[in-house]
Order: sequence, then C-alpha cells, then structure tokens
Amino acid sequence: MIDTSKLIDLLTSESAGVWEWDLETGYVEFNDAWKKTMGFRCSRAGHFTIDFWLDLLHPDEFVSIMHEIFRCRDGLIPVFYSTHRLMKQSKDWITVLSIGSLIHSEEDPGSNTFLCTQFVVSEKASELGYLRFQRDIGIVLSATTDLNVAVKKSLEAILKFNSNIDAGGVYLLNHETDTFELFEYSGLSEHFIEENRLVPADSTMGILIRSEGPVYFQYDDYSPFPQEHEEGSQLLINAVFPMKHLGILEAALFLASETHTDFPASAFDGIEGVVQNISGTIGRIRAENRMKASEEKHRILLERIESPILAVNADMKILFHNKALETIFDCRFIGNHDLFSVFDAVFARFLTVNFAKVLTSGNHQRISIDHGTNIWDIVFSSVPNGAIAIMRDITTSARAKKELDFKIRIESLLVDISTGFIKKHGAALDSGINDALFEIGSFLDVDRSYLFQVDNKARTVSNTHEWCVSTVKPKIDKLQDLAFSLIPWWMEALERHETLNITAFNELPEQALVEKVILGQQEILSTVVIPIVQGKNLIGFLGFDSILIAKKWNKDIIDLLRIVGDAIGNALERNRMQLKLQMMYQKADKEAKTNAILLKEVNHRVKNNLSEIIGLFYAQIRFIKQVNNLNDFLPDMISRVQGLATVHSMLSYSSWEPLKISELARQILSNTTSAIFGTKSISSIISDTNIKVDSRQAHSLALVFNELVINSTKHALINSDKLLIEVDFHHDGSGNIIIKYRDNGPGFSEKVLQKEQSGLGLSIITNMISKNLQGHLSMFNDNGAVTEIVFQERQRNEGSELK
Amino acid sequence: MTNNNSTSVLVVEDDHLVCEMVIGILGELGYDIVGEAADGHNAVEMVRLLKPDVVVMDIKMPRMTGIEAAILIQRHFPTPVVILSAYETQDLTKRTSEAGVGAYVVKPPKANDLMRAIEISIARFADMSRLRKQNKELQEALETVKQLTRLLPICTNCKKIKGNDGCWHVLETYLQDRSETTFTHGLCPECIEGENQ
Repeated sequence: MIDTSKLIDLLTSESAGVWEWDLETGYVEFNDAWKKTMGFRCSRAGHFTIDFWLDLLHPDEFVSIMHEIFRCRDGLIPVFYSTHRLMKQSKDWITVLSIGSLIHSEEDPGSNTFLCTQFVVSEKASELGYLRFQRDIGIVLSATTDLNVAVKKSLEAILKFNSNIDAGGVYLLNHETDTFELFEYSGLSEHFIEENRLVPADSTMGILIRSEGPVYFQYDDYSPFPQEHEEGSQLLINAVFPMKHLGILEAALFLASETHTDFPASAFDGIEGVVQNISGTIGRIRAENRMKASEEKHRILLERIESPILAVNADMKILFHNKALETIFDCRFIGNHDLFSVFDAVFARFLTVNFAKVLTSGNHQRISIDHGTNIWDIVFSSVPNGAIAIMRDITTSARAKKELDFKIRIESLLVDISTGFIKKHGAALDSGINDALFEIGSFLDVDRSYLFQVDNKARTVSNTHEWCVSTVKPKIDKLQDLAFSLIPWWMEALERHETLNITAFNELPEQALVEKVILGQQEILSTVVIPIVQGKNLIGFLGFDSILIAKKWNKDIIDLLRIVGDAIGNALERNRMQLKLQMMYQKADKEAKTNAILLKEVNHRVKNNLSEIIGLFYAQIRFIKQVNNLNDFLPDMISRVQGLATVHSMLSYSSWEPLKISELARQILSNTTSAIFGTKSISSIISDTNIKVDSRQAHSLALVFNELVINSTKHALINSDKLLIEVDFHHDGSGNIIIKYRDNGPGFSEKVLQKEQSGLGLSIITNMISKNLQGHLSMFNDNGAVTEIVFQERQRNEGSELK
Repeated sequence: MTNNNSTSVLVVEDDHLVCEMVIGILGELGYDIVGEAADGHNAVEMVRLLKPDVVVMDIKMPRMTGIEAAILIQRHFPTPVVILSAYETQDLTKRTSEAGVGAYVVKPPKANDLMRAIEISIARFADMSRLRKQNKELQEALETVKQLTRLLPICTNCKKIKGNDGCWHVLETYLQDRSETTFTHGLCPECIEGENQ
C-alpha cells in the first residue's frame, strides 16, 4: 500500500517541466510548466540552445551534469538521471530531478531529440522515495523496446507509488480506425474491461482523451462517471492523461479508485511528468513498431521481386538479399557475408567499387556489366546506413541491341567504303582498296582479307591487295598468276557468281579436294569469298579468312559484303576504262602533235620547193642569156621539177625521216629515164646499201642525181643505143659518204673536165654539192663519165623545228 | 625594174636554188648584190668585210643560224637585216625581232614584198640609229646635270670648287664648263661701297 502522505507530498510538489533538445537544429524548447517553475513568462518565445539551459546550472555541478547529458546524447548511456540545482529567473537556486533520454523521430529516423523531464523536488519528497520512483520508471522506459512491457511496468509503478489509486489503464489510439483500444490495465474488473475495451473517438471518454491536457474529476460535481465496476461496486475515474508524442496523440492513461472522489488536481502534478515520459516512450516504440512493420512490408515486396536485389551497409557487409539473387547467382548466404565471400572476385570488386561510389556521393548510378553468360543492368542507390543494388537481366535486349548496333555500324562502314570508291582511281584506288580491306577485316574480326583479280584471257587469278593481322603471314607474293585449274571447284563456283561460305573443312564437298588441301596448308579454319562481277564476267573476288578462330557469317553481313564487292568491281572496271581512255588520249595527242609538226614541215617543204623552182627559173634565165639555147629548156625543167616531186613524195611518205640513199637514187633514175622512148635501152646497177641520208641531204641529192642522169642520157646515147648507169655507195671510214656515179658513155669533154665549159646542169650539181651538201665533187673519165661525191654523213635528221 | 642601185645587199642562203631565186628577184629590183654566204658564220664575216646596206638572210643554216648571226651583226657591225624563211611562227617572229631583225618575209617572196621589207628594215634601222644617238646625248646631258645637283665642296676662303677629278676649279670656269651659263662681270652695291671706302 502506498503511503498516502508521501504521495500527497509528491503531488503537492512543484509541477514537472519538460524540455526538448532537437539535435538536428540545436534548438531547445521548454514547456510552459518548466517556464512557470523557473519563473519565466510563459509567453517568452525565441530560439534557445542547450547553452541556455547549461548556463542555469550551479557552477559546482556544471561540468558533471554537462558531461552526463552529452554522454546520453551520444548514446553512451541510455538515460540521463540527475538531481541538481538550477538558477531561477529570480536568481534563486532550485533543486530539480532531471530524467532525459534520446528519442528517435518517427518521421525522420535519422534525426534525434533529447527529451528531458524535470521535477522540482524538496528534501521531503526525495525522502518519500519519489526520486526512486521516477528513476525506476525512467530506467524501465529507456531499457525496453517492448510496448507492453513499457506500459505495464509504468502502470504498475504508478499504482504502486500512489496508494489512493486502485486501478488504471492505458488506451492506445488505433490510427486506422481512429478508436482507442484498451491496451494495458491493472485493477480493472472483467466487466469494466468488457464494457470499455474500445472507446470511439466521439464517445465521452474519447472526447476527454482528446483534451489538450490532463482532466481531473471532482465527484462532488456532475460527472459522466462513475462506471460500474463489479457487481455492486463502482469505479471512480479520477484523472485522464492524454499521451502525446511530438504533438501527436498516441495514447491515454486513466487512473481510478473505488472510493476516493475528491482528489485535488494538484495531487497529480508529479504524475503528469511521468506520463509525459511514458508518452514519449510509447510514441517511440509505436513509431519503431510501425517502421518495423513497414520494413517488413518492403522486405516481403523485395523478396517477391524477380530481379536480384542486394543491400550492404557502410562496411560492405550484406544486409539484405532476395531469393532471386540466391537463385540466379547460385549462392548461399550463411551468417554475415561480405561481397567477396559470395561472388567471384571480378563481380565482387565491381559491386564494391560501385557501392562505395554511391555511399560516398549519395547519388544513384546505373551501370551495365557482362557477367558470365548474362548482361546485367544494375542500379545502385543509397539507403539509410547503406546502399542497395537492383539488378536487371538485360541479356536478351542487350544482345539484340548489340547485334543491331553492329549491323548499323557495319552498314555505315560499308556504305562509306562503297561511296568512297566512286571518286577513286589510279594509286588512290589501290590505297582505298587496302584501307577497305583493313577496315572491314579488323571490324569483322577476321585474320586476313584480300582481293584477287581475274585475267579471263589467261584464265589466271592474282592476289592484288591483302591485309592481315600481325600474327598471320602475308601470302600476296606467292599468290600470283594462279591458273583456274589449280582451284577448280572454287573458281567454278565463283564463275557461277556464287558466294563461298566455308565454315568448316569437313563441310566441303568431295569435288573440293584440292581446295581442302590448300586451305589446310594455309591453316584457314573458315572463310567467306565474295565474287566480283562486271556484266557477266567474273573480274575478281574478295575473301575474308579466319585462321585463329572459326567464324560463322550471317546472310545480312554477306549481302553487305557483296555491295562492297560490287563497288570495288565498278571502281576497278572504271579504272581499267580510264587507263584505256588515257592511253588512247595520249596516243591521239601524240599523233595530233606529230601531225601538226608534219603539217608545218610540209608547209615549209612546199614553200622551199616552190622557192627552188623559182630559183631554177631564174638560173635557167641566166644560162639562156649566156648560151642562147632554148631547146632543152622545157624538158629539163620538167625533169627537175619531177625530181623535186619525187623526193618530196618519198620524204612525205617517210614523215621526213632519213631515206635509204640507194632507194632515192633508184627512184630518181627511174623517173628521169621513163621519159625516154624509142629503141634506146637504159639499164642501171644501183648497189644496195643501208646508208641513209637526212631529208635535206636527200633533197639535194635528188637534184644532183637528176642532173647526172639527164647528163648521161644526153651524151651517152648519142652514139649508142644502150646506156648503163652504175651507182655505188660506201663509207670512207671517217664519217663521209662516198657516191660513185658512172655511165658507159663517151665520158666528160675536156672542156668540162677543165671547167672551161659549164651548163645549168653542171652548175646545179656543183653548187648543190658545195653549198647544200657542203661536200666535195670529183669528175673524171674511166670507161665512161665518172662522178664522185663525198659529203659528211649526218648522225641525225635535222629537226624541222628550229631551235 | 626598180632602180635600187645605190643599195648594196648581202644574200645569205644555204640552198643554192633558193639563193638563185633571191638573187634573181633582187637583181630585177635593181639592188646591188655585193656577196653571197651559205651560213651565218660566213655572213658575219662578209658583213664585216663588205659593209652592205642590208642583209637578206635565211634562218636555218649549217654552223650558225640566221638569228644567231643577226645578233652578232647588230652587236658588232650594225646593219639592217631582212629575214627570209619558209618557216612562219609567232615564236620565230618574236625571236628575230628581239635579235634586231628589221623585217621578216616568207619564202617564196613576191618581189614587191621583199623590196618593201628591205626599205622598212633600212628605215627602221635609221630610226633606231637616230634614237640610239639621241639617247646617248641625253645620257651625257643627264650626267652633267647630275654633276651640278650633287653636293659641291667649296673653299671658304678663295671660293674654288673641288671637281670629280679631285682638282680645285675657279667657280666661274667650273659652272661654264658644266652648264649653259655665261658670266658678265660687274660689282654689287656692297662691294662698290667697300671699294669707295
């Protein structure tokens, strides 16, 4: 039984004050009771810090109290419990009991509040054991996380401490139904419990519970109570204490007695402080319970997710994983695992690195990784005190995307290459083909790419371009001018414009025995060969060999490679045509230039010939005046002009290239003697020789030969019907040409030999040899007239263009 | 026949019959053929010896071409030259002009064309000679002016001037020798006053 007097002493003591220290903001809030106790105005407002409260401590106790409060704040001790002195507004000292504890906020589990209840105690109250009572409750409340235990123990302590109270109970508010449910009780009859288990919010009790502060009943007034307690007895409810945590109504405590009806309100002052403490604890535990319930819901939810989920704490210890992770990664979790004991080293390192990034930055990140046979898209996010990774298997979509990307890239590459060939020719085309083989070969990951060109006339193929990886030996030098018959099956297929897609040797048909051997010698595991066709003709083929690892080719890639083959084929054909055109153009250009030169030369020669004819006339005029003989004028002039025409014709025919001197003599002799008719017989022996004379010399010699023949026919046939003319040519060994002309006539007259007589013919012969040929003339008789001409052989034809 | 007796001509041609033609035409025109040469080298030598009024010359000849010969003739024995060639190109015309050739006639020439070419060549040569003479006179005049416009060292005491030859000349003589200046002699008012004192 509680000592009533002691309780009265306690209840009549100063009212309890409460202060809350928000550790997030650093601000301290004091309730009105505290302010009233300390002599401050209740309306006093403003931001207070813990320093304000510490400043009120007695200097002798300042250090120890502050030390205890901070230890409790830092979680080193569960409860701050101390009797000490505080300075009131009036500068008087007051002794108080402070009980404080760290309270976790429900809304924000990361933020904390230090809640402290303060009782003003007298020497008398402490003697009554009130301090022990308060301490016991404080220890109970701070030590438990079980709401039942906390409420039951608190209720028992209150009933034990207050001997006038026979019964009491605690209602908890069900937030979902907005109904108060009797949670814990003591001293209540079954009947009462049955009747009052649920209190609707709109009932009398419900309304009372929702009051701002405690409600005390004086049974000398009208009251909705007493309630029937047991048969024949009543239970008088003396006080109802709404229990709020952080301003939110969580529960209510009611105290009752069977007999006592006239408690003064002040009798419950000490209880109010305890109730506040209990309220805080109830609120905290309920919040924790709600959080646990919420966590459980999330845990169930996470368990049901089919994607693997993994959560770690700041020390990279695995806090949570779901079934999917266990199943998919085939790992077992027993005890506290770190990542490296569950996953292989590479994946564990990957997870560690990314968890660390998220833990450091607080930002989530998304990364894809190839792991084993799968591709994972993993989202790393930070959670309180750790980080979580949600893994999504994107193997199928990633592979599809990879294939699509590959296709797009190779399409783009091949289109670029094919387009590039449009403008290439000559050396640029060779370089372009080499670049294309390199780009395609390296992109498609083959070991060798090559181009063979076909010589359809010779029925051979030659490797003209090649690229290969550094570990493979080039073969281009050895693969030249290979006959079709060396690789018959291969070439027949290509000539049918078929693509060869050889993925394994054993797939080759029996007819490809030779090819099997050749490919085996070159250690080629797989190859694809694309024919290059122009019109209906195979002009070459592109090949892509895999030597290190066999490669399988899909149809799309082969189709794209055929486009490249077509582009290369077009470029090669265009290049071939261009070269042909170029050669034709060069030939035409050369011919045009030659013709232009010849035309100028013809023009020059014609003018020269005309000048010479005019000169002949002037010379003839001069000689006619001297000898007054016109008989031979016309035939001689005709013969001379014909001589000029003959040599002009021969030179034109040879494009003014040097003429064989014997042929020139033969032609002139033939022309000159053809005009002689009748019984006269003229024969000639002209020695054959390879000696040639240039155009100028030929021109002069033609006139000389003409004059010599005219002379022979005039004189040698006077007493004879037969004329024999012999012409002989030879070198003298010192760069001179010697012509010996002789006939079988009577020979030169003495006057001619003595140079006492000279006609136009002799004048022409003399001057042509001395001036035009810069040579030497000898005339003598030796069984006929003999004329010997010596002149220097010119090494080259004198150019028609003047230098 | 035109009377061109006073004009002597040297014919340079390596083709005998063409030479016959040129001599025949020039003979008809009344020119005095003072010689014949068969190449450029001979032509230069004969110009030196014969000093003809005009040279009628082919281009393409052995040993030395007509253009090379024309350059030597203009440099050493200035004489009007007429080129007679079967070739007819702009480049050749330009080269002959640069060699100082007065006229260019294409083979075979009409008699009048050849005569006109000879006359033009002679007239042009005379003009050139006159211009060369005038140019020389102007150069000399310019040299004199240059002498008078440069800085003249003068003796502060006797007022003699130091010439390019390093000798000191009396001012009057120096200026008379190098300009059109003629001096009259008299006294200035200040000197008259000085004389009187």
